[in-house]
Amino acid sequence: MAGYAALSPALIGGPPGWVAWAVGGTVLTVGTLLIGREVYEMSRTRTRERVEPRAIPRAETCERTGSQQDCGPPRRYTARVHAQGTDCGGTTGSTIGMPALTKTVPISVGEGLALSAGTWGLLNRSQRTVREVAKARADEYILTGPGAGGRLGQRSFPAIDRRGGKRYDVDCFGSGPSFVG
Amino acid sequence: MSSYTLSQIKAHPYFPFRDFRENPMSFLMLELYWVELFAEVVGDAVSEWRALSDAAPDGNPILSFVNDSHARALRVIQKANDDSKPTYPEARGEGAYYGLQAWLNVGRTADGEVELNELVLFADLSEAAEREARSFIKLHCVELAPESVLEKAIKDYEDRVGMPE
Repeated sequence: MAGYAALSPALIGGPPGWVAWAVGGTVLTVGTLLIGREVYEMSRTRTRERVEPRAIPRAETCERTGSQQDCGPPRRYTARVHAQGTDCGGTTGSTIGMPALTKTVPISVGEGLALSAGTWGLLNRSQRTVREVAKARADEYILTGPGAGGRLGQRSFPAIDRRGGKRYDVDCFGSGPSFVG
Repeated sequence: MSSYTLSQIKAHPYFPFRDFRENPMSFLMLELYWVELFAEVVGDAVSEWRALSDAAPDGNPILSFVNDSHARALRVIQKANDDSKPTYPEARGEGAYYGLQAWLNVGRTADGEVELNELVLFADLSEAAEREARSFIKLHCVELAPESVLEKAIKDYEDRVGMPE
């Protein structure tokens, strides 16, 4: 119920519809109730896990590994740290950076920082100067990955109030989060 | 399910939700603002778009949608004048704060399998930023303009507002 108390000040002065917020017990529920847009519902309902019986893995020979274990598809984790923007090749989508790293286990924090350092080494002085703060934030994002349960998806660290999409990007794709430890 | 208009969101006493990093209510209102703005600009075609990832508590991203049929994505990162810089249009050029920056990106779905033509908006909730954001969202998500057209639109905007290198 503490959640209701925290939300109640926001109800003052809003349209009558704001009252609907009070029926939510949690932040997640409030958001789900409120928005009412199918497209947004999809993003929220994904977080609600359904309780279903787990399939018991059958012992069979895995063609890939030759072992008698459950043989799912190979897991794949990719991380990429790039400098991007017009000063990296002419368009806002232009990019300079180390090749993406792909492994069958999550990319480690150390490997992420090494990718960042490698990309930084490819930049000239002006490309670095405009991205100093962005790079520091990107490295912090990698370093704090374990505390956040890892990182998955795209993250941009823009050069603030600069034209041309100048930024430092950290992208993690694949079977699950990277920078987990 | 009810739906809220942008004018109702803007009438909220917390608008423009500057404390979103500390206040969950403001964070939700911010999410709602961007979802409603997107839905309003895209119109009926909104059903062709789905969420690509959840919003992050720091607003990076605050909204991330994908259209699988056209391999297009839109990502919005919440911008804030944290350093209290003088603001455009009263200030321009070096040292000025701009409510919107935009760029194109080669994005990917979370599994990394599908390449996406992505527009990224780094924007706040000011009137000027909303006006520009509407224009960019329409160009990319409704008119499905090619990259060259969007690159030119971004450059034209930056020239017009005098954004520095």
